[in-house]
Amino acid sequence: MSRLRIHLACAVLFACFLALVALPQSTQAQDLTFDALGYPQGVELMGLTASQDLFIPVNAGLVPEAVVLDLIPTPNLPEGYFSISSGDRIQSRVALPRAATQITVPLREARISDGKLQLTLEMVVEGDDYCEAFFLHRLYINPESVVRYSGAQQAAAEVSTFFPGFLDRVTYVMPAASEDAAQAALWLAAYLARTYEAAPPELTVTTGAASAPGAFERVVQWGGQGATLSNGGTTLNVGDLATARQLFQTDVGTRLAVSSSVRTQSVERSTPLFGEGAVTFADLGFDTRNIEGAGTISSFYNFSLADFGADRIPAGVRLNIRHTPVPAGGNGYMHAYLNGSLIQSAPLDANELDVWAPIRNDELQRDNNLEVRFAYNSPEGNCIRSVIPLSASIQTNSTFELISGEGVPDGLLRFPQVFADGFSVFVEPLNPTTLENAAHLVMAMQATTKTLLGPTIVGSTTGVEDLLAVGDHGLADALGATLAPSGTLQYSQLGTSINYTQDGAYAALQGFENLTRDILLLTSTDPASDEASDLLDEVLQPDGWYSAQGQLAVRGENGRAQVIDLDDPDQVAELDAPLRGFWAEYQWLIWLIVALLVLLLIIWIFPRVVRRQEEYPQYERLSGLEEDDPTVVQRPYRPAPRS
Amino acid sequence: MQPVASSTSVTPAQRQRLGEYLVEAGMVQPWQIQQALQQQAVTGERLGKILLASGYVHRLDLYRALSDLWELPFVLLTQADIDEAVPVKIGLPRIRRLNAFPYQWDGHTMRVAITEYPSPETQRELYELFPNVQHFEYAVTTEWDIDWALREVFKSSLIKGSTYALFMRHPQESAYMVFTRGQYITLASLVMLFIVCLYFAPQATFIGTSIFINVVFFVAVAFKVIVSLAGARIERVQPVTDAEVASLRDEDLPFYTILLPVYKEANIIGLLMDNLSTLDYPKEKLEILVLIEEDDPETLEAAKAARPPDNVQFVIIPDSQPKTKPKACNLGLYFARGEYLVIYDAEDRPEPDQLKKALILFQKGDPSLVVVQGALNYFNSDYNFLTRMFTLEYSYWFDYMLPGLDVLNLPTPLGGTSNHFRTDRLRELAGWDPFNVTEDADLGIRASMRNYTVGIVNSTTYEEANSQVGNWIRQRSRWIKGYMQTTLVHTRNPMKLVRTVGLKNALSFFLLVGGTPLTFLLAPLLWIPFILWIFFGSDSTFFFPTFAVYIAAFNLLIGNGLAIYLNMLAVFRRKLYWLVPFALLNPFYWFLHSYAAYKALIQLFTKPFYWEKTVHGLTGDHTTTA
Repeated sequence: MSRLRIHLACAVLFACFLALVALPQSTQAQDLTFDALGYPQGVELMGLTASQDLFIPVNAGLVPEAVVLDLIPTPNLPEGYFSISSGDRIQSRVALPRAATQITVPLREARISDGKLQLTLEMVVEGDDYCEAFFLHRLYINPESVVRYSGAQQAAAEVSTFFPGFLDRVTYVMPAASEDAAQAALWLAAYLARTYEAAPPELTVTTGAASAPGAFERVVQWGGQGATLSNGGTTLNVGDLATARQLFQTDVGTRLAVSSSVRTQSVERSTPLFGEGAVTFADLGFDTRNIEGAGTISSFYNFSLADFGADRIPAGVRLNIRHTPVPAGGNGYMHAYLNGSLIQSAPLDANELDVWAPIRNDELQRDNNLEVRFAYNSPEGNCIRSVIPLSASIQTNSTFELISGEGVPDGLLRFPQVFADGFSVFVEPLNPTTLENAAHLVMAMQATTKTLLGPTIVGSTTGVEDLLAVGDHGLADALGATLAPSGTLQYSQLGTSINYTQDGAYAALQGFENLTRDILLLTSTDPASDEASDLLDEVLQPDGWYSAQGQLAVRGENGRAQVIDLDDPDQVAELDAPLRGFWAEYQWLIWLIVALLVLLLIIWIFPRVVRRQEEYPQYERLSGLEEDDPTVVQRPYRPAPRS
Repeated sequence: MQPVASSTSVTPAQRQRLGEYLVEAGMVQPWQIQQALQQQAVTGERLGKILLASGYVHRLDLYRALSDLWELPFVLLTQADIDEAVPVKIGLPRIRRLNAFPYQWDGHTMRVAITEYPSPETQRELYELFPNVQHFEYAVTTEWDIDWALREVFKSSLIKGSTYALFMRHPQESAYMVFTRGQYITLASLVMLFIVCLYFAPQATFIGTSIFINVVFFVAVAFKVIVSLAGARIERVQPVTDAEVASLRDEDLPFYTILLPVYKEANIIGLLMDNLSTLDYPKEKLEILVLIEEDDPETLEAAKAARPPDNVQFVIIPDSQPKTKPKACNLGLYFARGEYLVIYDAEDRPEPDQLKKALILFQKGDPSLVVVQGALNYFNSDYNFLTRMFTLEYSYWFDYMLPGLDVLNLPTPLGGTSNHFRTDRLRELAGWDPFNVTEDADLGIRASMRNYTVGIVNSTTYEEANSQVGNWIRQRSRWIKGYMQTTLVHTRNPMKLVRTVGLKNALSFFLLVGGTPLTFLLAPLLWIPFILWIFFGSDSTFFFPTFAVYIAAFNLLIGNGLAIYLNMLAVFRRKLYWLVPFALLNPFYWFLHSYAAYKALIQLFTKPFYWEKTVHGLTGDHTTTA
């Protein structure tokens, strides 16, 4: 075999190797987990028959190849089947697994409409005992399950298609920090939270050049004129505030991207939801809910006070329900719970229910849960398969009746309701880090309400009403929310104080009412550092703004964020974890000890590997072994010309 | 003054012919004499040696017969009283040259044991050495008796000589001194400086270290690629052709010595005898010295049980430290009679024509050619993963790397066995360094440093590839430790090295001998940033910024890719295409290398001269059929 052919063969094999190495990475880039797609809790099917719809975003150009499901059944799950269908087409139907298993279902034939793929997961279990089944028969689909895509994403051809159904990251680039650019960034943050409600992308702000966006990434660049696309449709250039407002602060804007599981709706502040002191379920984005079953069946409605505006709260809820008649010998009731408290109950004695449930102020929270529960007892009993179920339909014309007033508590829980009618944002100094923190706060709050938040960037904290402020601790002093390093936290103008320990740098997030205005304040020792970002990351884990509770969150240089409740004035927060503090304090000593140990080791080894003269063999001539043999010519240790 | 030949007045011409005597005495059959005479006509060798090598006559019978023919008494030195002061006076080399061992002196008569009839020159030289002696009385003995007596008389000197000869003649080339004071202080300073830098500037230190490691790694791999591609040129050139081998005449062949150092090899010594019997070389011109340690009677017994021919001699190595293969070889070198010498390992299966091919290469080559390396490969390559990877590695090393070094005139480290030497030049180089655990590689470098050249012959010795991980690690850690020792030895004065051998050769030495252990040591450090990046993503950027990670990833793909490429290339010469897929597993093989390298590093400081024994015979007689 000639040398050329040998090298050629090796090169081909080597190329194959590189391709093998590169292949998994490219494949992985096209995979999205359920967690990323907005199902961080996974999916659970329970009972004898259960189904759930999933909405999978499909960016233009991508083809959903398959879904890889991690199925985890409860022990001793009876026989039955698990099916996946798209529209009226069954994609796969398999026997229920006996143990945790992974199945791959091809999706090539699945139907895609409006940039999303609807999948229906259904479980049917053999058996007759509904009651037992409800508690014992469950199939859990792990959030690590993966949707596998092929193809290459198509670049956006026009602004309206710039934001695809799924995004992992959006980078906002402003060539120089300015108030206009910052204003656009805040609007963008709110827009992303509304648009990608289930799985908002990560927003980063930079003044430098953005790196080439990846598969699920986009860049929004402040500059140019109007709204234009560049970089092959992966960069949206926004040239002025009017354009930014049109894009990010109205329904028109860019077409709302497909959210994964929940239909999104935004509302313009200029046209409030409540025209006549009432807001319907439809206005809040809830569809008609149809539920069916026997025993206890429920439907849940999540809403926030911010959904009703800044100074209105619901005084009651009027439920309009249609249902099947309760057979003779049976009985049925509807119970309405608000945040776990029963607010109304009514018998199901006809086929329609129009019931009013009053809501007291103290039953309201920032984020509320209304449960409409039906307790239905069939004449045959509730646990047999042949029971005639109750079917109920909660109508979208059900309404919350509103009154003026504030139902919000203190601290961080006041937000975002107090911002619902608009608020100012003050960032000092205005740089990518501080602006990004402000944008993250806006984004997090927007994700909890359907009210369109309208932040307005301002250059001063004076003369403005409700305020989101980001800066250093000097800003806290100016706004009357000093965190004294002496160990006592004081809201100077409120006369409230709590004890805490604090040394060195720290960041704090405070929500408070100062005289006539509400202030959400994020401060840190060095606004250019990551102190405030780290604090936000920890406060917003794991449920975004829903996780922000209490009045104050502080984070020391090395410790985790601590949420402090002003209602408990005796509590003390340790801001620095002891171990980390030990390392920080004694690092020099540890290094010194290490250096000394190494030095001792070096000294100890020295005589073992470096010989002293007296250790050399003490004879110069090997007696009897050497001969002045003329045939042996000693060659010098020096070079000679080579032949 | 005229020499005096006492005790005999019979000239060789008057004596009865040896063949006739032996037949009459019933020691051999006439046809055996006939056959030996025919062989003598071809090789020109003495009849007695032919009969011995053919196994037709016992050594003792032969020399007793000569004693009768020469009308000289016969003496067994093993049973004689030896006056040690007498042989010590003239020394071992002269005794071996004259084949005369003076063993008793009573103030009047000097008794001398001989194996050849004393020539007038021999008698004259003895007279000059012992001017006071009036009467020499000669007695016939066997060569083995003389060798035994030499080992007894010169035992202490032989131990010292085989251990310290290199250190005493060229101390700067001996690994007896692991580190020089300067080397140690430099190394210690670098370690301390690294710790200080870690404290004051951890990020910069990590980044700098990472870049340094990557550069070293890539340059070392690139160097091997370049050399191997140069070695690929030899594919179309046969250093020695079969026609040249066929044209050799037996009578022109010189005496050849084979050194066989064995230790705890009782299980395969018999097999070794069989393997050597296949060598295409006149037995009467072949001397096989089996070097057996004194504390290894099992191997000695097994070797005797194999009933080797009479040209095989057992040399017992006195028990002393360091107990290493090079020390045994050095002792064997004192007794080697051959003009050329080759060393084989216990499990070796050399191709039959190897001695002749090496000889032709010596004859064709420049006088500076002092050593010829045979290719090594494995007969059990398909035994398991380890043997497959080992075969790939050896094929690349001996078929491409070493020929490449040869083509480019770069210093060449020798492989463990199948090294053919001009014996006199080997003695001039003071033999092997018993303190260096890769004495072969060191010897090749020392020869190159003296401007001698190393040739590569196209004949293969098949060995047993290590098939067990523990055994493999022991062997590999010894090799890597030896490379570290060799690097330290020849870099005691780096500037002098550059001035002596030139920049190109010095760089080649650094990259090949120094670079090999260094890359194995650094490889895990190279993997760390990449693994951190995989698991922690951007969180690891404090220590390893993006550009450093990209460099590491480049090395991971390109560096490992090149290493894989070399291994793939390796199979083509021997048409071992079925091994190609295993080349892709080379990165995993590197894990083992790195483990062995760290073991070697620790041993360099704790047990620098410790010889990690490799167990042979683990795969039995398994032979690759693919």
